[in-house]
This record gives sequence, C-alpha cells and structure tokens, in this order.
Amino acid sequence: MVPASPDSLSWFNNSCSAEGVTYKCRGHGALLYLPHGGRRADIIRTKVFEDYIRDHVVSWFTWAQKNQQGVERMEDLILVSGCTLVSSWAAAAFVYNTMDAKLSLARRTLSNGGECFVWCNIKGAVEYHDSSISPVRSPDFVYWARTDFSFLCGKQYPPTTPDQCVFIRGFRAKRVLFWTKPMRAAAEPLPDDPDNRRDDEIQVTRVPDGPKVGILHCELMVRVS
Amino acid sequence: MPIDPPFNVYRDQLTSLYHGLALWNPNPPKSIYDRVSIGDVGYVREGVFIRMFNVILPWDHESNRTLGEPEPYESLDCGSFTNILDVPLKTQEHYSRFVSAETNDNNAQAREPDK
Repeated sequence: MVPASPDSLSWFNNSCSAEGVTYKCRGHGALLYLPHGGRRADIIRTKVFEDYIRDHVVSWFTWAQKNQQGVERMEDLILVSGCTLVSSWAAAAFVYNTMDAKLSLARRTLSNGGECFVWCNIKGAVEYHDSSISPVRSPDFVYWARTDFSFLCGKQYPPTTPDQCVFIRGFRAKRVLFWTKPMRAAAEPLPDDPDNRRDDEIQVTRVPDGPKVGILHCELMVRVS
Repeated sequence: MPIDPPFNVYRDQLTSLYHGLALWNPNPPKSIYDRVSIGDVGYVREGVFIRMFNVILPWDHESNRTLGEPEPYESLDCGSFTNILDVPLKTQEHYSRFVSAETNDNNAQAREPDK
C-alpha cells in the first residue's frame, strides 16, 4: 500500500474502516470542513474602503511592479474588508471535470485528548490537505495529525487563536477606458483623429464578485457623444 | 489527461457559496504576516493570500516592510465608531453543488450541499 502525500494528487484506491463522512462528486467540486467553526469579521460601512482603493490602487500597482511582486494586473490586488478565520480546517478539491471521485473524512479523538483528521476511501482525482500539516491548530485541544495511514505524531502544538483564513472579502479595482468619439455626419473618426479622447476611470468591484485572477479581461466602453 | 490546479478548482467551487473568496491554503506565510486582517492589501497566488501591507496601519509600521517599504500614504480611517461586525461562523461543512455527503454509519444519510 502506498501512503499518500497530503499534498499530492491521489490516483490510487484505498479503504479504511467506515467512519466519518464520505463525499462524492462528479466533475469539479470542493469541500471545506471546519471542526470548530470560525469567526467572520467584516467592515460595516464599506464605502470608505471603496473610495480608498479607488484613490490608491494605481500607486499600489506601481509599487507591486517596482518590487517585483509578480502582480500582472491592477485588478489582481485586493483590499481586504472582511475575512473568516478558523483554527483548523480540512479541504479537498475534485480536480478532474468529468470523472467520478470520492473520499471520506473523519475526526478521531485520541486517548490523550488530541484530535486528528483521517482521509480515506479515496478514489479518483482528488487533492486534499488539512491544517494538520501546517500545523493543526485548535483553541481547545492539542492536535495530533494523521493523513491516510501515516501518523505524523510526535509534535504537539499549543492552543492558538484562529489565524487560518479560509475566506476573504474585499474590493478590487481596475482601470476602465472610455473612448469618446465625436460623431460626424459624413464620416467616421479616423484612428489617429486628434478629436478622439481617452479618459481613464477606476472601477471598483467586490471580492469575490470581481474578475478572477488569470482570466484576461479587456473592457472597452464606448461613449458616443 | 487535463487536470485543473486544485487551488483554482477550489476557489471557483467554494467562492460560489458567497462566503467570500476561498483560499486553498488558509495558512498565512509566517515569514510575511501572521494572519489576514481587515485593511490588508495583497493578492492571491496559487491559493495563498500574499499580504503586501496593511493600510489601516501607518505606512512605516514594521509589519508593512516585509516585502519592501511602501510609498508613504495616509492611513485608512475607519472612523471613531464601531465599524467591524464580528460574528461566529458555526457551519462546519461547506461543499459545492455537485458534491454530496453521506454519513458513514449504520444509518447513513445523504445530505445536501451548503447553499
């Protein structure tokens, strides 16, 4: 039997005693398990954040490029206005878009009062990991970590306050180009017509409603005047 | 066989649940920052949030210099009144539309995904 690496894609089948919850998926899917829940913190009055990112995003983007942050587009930058923090988590992604896949997840309480996540019954293309490896944190318990059939015991971590961020909320901003085309009766304006005027405007969108990273967005809004 | 990166699949699938942008790796890179905070400015790289600086803090705050010293800016003022809503999240399970869950016991029960 081949022990699975917590961060590696698992293509093998294995089994373990029936326990916990089995998750099945056809195609893409994802799950997040939070044994101790978490805390949501959000700004109530968000307008000040919207105004602030609109005023500063250009300088942030310039700074990011100057400091070689690898930020390719202005809209990749996020101003955080809310987040969900947890102390421990388990997450999985069903990564193949046409294949059936499943896995089981259980919590196991150890004799010393600790807990661990157990992943098993894995079939198909599923990638999974948990806070055990990074390391497990719990406000109430000292965790021991186990993934598949390999115990990662021997380390004890002191209780901590939630610092693992599973969801973020906030704002992005991007530059939108407005082309002002003076319309003439007899002919369209030439491309190099000096009367063509371009105005830039910063458009703010909410995260996660904003554009996804890695997808090319090209917006050209034409205003006819 | 084409495989989509897990951090993208995870983000796309769980973000649709409207809890926020889902991070495949919730663990903050401790060499950069301790935890995500309101006012952070950063970006997401392969499921990890990379914090550049926090604009509620002064621009020259020590924690804002981890990735380079930012240009001087006027800190974001949230006002003198309480402006943060902090509530417990009790839901333990979050899974996307095409995932089904079944309890592994003698009385196995299928459950609907978190909507």
